This record gives sequence, structure tokens and C-alpha cells, in this order.
Amino acid sequence: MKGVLAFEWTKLWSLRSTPWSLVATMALTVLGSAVVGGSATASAENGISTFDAAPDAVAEAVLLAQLTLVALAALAITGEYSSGSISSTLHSVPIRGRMLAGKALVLGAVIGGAGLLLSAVGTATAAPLMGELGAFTAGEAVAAALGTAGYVAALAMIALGLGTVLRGAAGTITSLVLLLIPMPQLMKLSDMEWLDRAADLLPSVAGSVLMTGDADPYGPPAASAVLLVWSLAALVGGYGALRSRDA
Amino acid sequence: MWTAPAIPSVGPVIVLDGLTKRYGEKAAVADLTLEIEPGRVTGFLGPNGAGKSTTMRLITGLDAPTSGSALIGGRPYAALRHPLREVGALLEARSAHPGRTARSHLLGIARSDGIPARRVDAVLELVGLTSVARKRVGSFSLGMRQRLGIAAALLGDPGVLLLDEPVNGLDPDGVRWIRELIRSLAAEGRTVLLSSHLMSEMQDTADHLVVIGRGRLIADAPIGEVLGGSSRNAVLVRSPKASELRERLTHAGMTVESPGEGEILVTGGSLDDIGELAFRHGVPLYELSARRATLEQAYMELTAASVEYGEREAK
Repeated sequence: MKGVLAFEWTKLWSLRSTPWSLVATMALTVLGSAVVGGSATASAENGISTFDAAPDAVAEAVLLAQLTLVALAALAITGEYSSGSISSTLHSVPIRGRMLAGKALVLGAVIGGAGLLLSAVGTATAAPLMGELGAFTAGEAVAAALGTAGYVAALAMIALGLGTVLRGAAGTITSLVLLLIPMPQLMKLSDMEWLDRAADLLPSVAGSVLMTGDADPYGPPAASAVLLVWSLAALVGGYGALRSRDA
Repeated sequence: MWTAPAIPSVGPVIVLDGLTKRYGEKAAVADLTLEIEPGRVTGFLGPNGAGKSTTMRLITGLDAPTSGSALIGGRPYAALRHPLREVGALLEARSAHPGRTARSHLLGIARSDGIPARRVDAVLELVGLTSVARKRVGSFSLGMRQRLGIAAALLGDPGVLLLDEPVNGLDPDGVRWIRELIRSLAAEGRTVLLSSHLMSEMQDTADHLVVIGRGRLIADAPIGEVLGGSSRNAVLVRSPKASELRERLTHAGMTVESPGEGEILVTGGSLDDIGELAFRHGVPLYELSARRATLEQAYMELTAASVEYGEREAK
């Protein structure tokens, strides 16, 4: 397994797109945190209070910046199929579950680590702009950082699993963008109660809870469970496709 | 100290038993039973779509057989403990991500099995890519990609090599280089399965031939036997009394054609037989020489039936 991890790590970092997408995510998070933080302050001056802590402003920004991380994780597998390098990968690691586990661990660590950093840097950007309004405790900051790491790591698993099933970057990324951004809003638009409830189980809704520590529509433990189920379902689906299909 | 594990060098190394791969109704590989021995180059021939590449993909586990098995050293590929150190494979030129450098492509593969980085530099040197090691694969020509694929196949110093069309895209120097490399790998006792559509290349490189057509085994024999079995092996005779000699040879049961004035082409008799017969009848000879069938001719005869069938079916 050590070799598999080293292999996946080397492959991930030997592509220029990896550092670039991480830098782009960071830039989007910083920008988003500044905008959200600044506008929260402006709203408060007009008597509308929207946020209670700087890390919450960052959560808003991450919900935008998440897409570059999704693309990074999706490309880790779809890029292998589009370039044909999947054949050299499977020559080196013929046990397919081991290959997928190696990718999952490396992507989870790198993207989860990026989540910690995004939360910290985003909070440091938003806090000065929000002043008293954005006041937060150290415990809240740590919880937000861990929540962000957990959410983006889960997104990486979903993207990896779906990418393994679909094999194409375009289909994978498009599906995930739809799932993460318009789906929750569209489902909430309807009058049907059950659809509204179901929308709460979408990954970005759970991610929002996990990053902000909110209690609506459920608390962080339930949000963790929702994301875990999504991650496992995607990985199991990906494993099934890898096992049953020719490379 | 890192060393490649030895694959037993006696007895068959690759064993295909009833190997079959179907895509719906069509069988790409049909009931292929075959043993591939070490220490020689086994040439793998067949018309386009005969199932050569599919067979190699089945051997390395990229594709799963519909039935039958392909074993290397008694085990399926996925069960090999150190696959790269036991089997090197060049299956398609497009097996490296264009965004990666040649060196990082190989380095990743090497790290998957604890092969040291100096081995990466050694194989880059061996295939002549040292000067472009840090260039992106996307900028490589087909020939350079083939060399990179060969480097990847040799990375683990494996006892078994599966090379699908390795000369594709190589220049004449590259073709000669790979021929010598393949010959030397087999001479070291390794098992080499080589597919190529270049007949002259195969004739110079292979010791043993496996010919398949429409997924089925057509021939599995030493190259000398395949060439010897061709009806195109003949004896060319030039004589001022060609027509008289022609009658005598036909009378002796040989088949004679006249390709030109004063020339006859004889099949069914050896140089010695014809020489003696001419001497006995006082026929002067200006030339008496063997015309050996080329591999291409022998191959065309072998696969004629399968190609014909393919064409008829396509109509």
C-alpha cells in the first residue's frame, strides 16, 4: 500500500493542474471571504444582521470555491482514462480496489489539508473586515476548519467515485456542479414537503452545516453522517465499476 | 540492494488455456490455447482485428476474459506480487499523461513498487530519452512515446516482456535498435512476446511464431518451420535448354513455372535433385538457386482463409 500511495502522490503532484487548482481555490476563498465579510458588515450597518462569526463568512466563500477542488479530484481519475495512462496505472497496481483506495487516501489528505488551510486563511481575511460583528472563539475557528476539511474531503470522494463510474471529466464535473449548486435551491423551490426534506440530505447542505456548526436543518454529527454516506456510496459505486468493467 | 525476482526459465512462462473474449456475439479471442516459452522471441502475427492486442490486454488483466485463463508463471497478472518486476508491457503508445514529464511518469510507476529513482534514469538512458527526460510527454513524437513505453516496460527489469507493435513510429535507426534490444533480452533468458505487422521485421527478430486470425490460433511453430512449409519455397533454374529441362522435371513429379525466357521456377524438388537430373540428361545450367519464401508470403498463405472469411462477412 505504501507504494500505491507514493505512486498516486507522485502522479498528483507531477501535473501542473494540481498546484494551479489549489492556488485558484485559495484565491477564490480569500476573495469570497473578503466580499462576504465586507457585505455582512455593510448589512449590519443598515440594521440587517446576517452572520454571527467570521468563519461563517468563509463557509459561504468555500461553497463557491469548492468547484475547483471537485475538478481536481475528478481529473485524478478521469484524466487517467482520457490520456490512456490508466493502462500504466493498472500495470503497476493491478488490484483495482487498492488503486482506488490509494487515490482516495491521497486525494482525501491533500484536499482535506487544503480545506484546513482555506478555512484558516479565509477567516484571517474576513475577521478584520467584520470587526466586532465577526467575533469568534478559538474553538469555533477550529471547528470551522475541521468542518471545512471534512466537507471538501467528502467532495473529493464523491468526485473520485463518480469519475470512476463515468470516466469522463465533462460528465463528472457537470453532474457535480449541478448537484452542489442549483439542486438544493431548485428542490427548495417546490411546495412539496418531502422534496424539501430530501434537499437537506444533499452534500452541499450538509457541508454548510458542518462548516458553520449550525443546528438547522440538523447538527454537525448528522451532517458528518450524511457526507460519509455520500462518500461511501460514490466510492462503492466506483469500485463496482472498476471491478466489473474492462480498463 | 534491489534485485528483480527470477521467473523460472524452464518450461512455458505464459500459459493461455481456452482464452476467450467476446463482445456480444463477436469473439475477439476464441478458445486460444498456447504456451509461450522463455529464452526466445515469440512473434505474434495476425491481420488487423485478429485479437493480438486483446490477447495482450487479457494477459495483463486490463480486460477480463469471458472464459478460459491466462497465467504468467502459474498465476494471473493481478496475483503477481511485484507485477512490474515480473512482467513489462508496452501495449499502447498512449499510456502516459501528456501533462507529465517523461521522468515523472516513470518515477511514479517506479515508486509503486519501490524501484529506485536511479533505475528510472538508467532506463531513460537505455532508450535514449535522457536529454528530454524533463520535457512533457505531450510534446513527444510517436517514436519518442514508444521509447518511453519501452522504458516503462523495462523499469522493473522483468523476466517477461509483452510488446505490442513496439516499432510503430520508430525511425530506421530506432527499428534496428529495438530489434537488437529484443534479441538481447531473449538471449538473457527472458520471455518475449512481440506483435508486429512488419513482416520483414518479424522475420529478423522472432524465433517462434504464433499466428492468429479472427481470434483463433492458425499456427504455433518455429519460424523456420513456418517458412519451410510455404509453397513459395522454390528453386530458380536458368538454362539454354529450359524447355527440355522443364519436361524432364515435370516427368519427375515436380511443379514447374516459367517466369521468363530461359528461366524456370521449380517447386517440389531440392537443389540437389534438380542438379543431378540436369547432369544426367546433359542439360547445361547457368543458374541453380534457392528462392526462399519470405515470412510475408508464408503468412499470407496461412491467413488467406481467415482474411477471406473476414471480407466475405463484411459484405
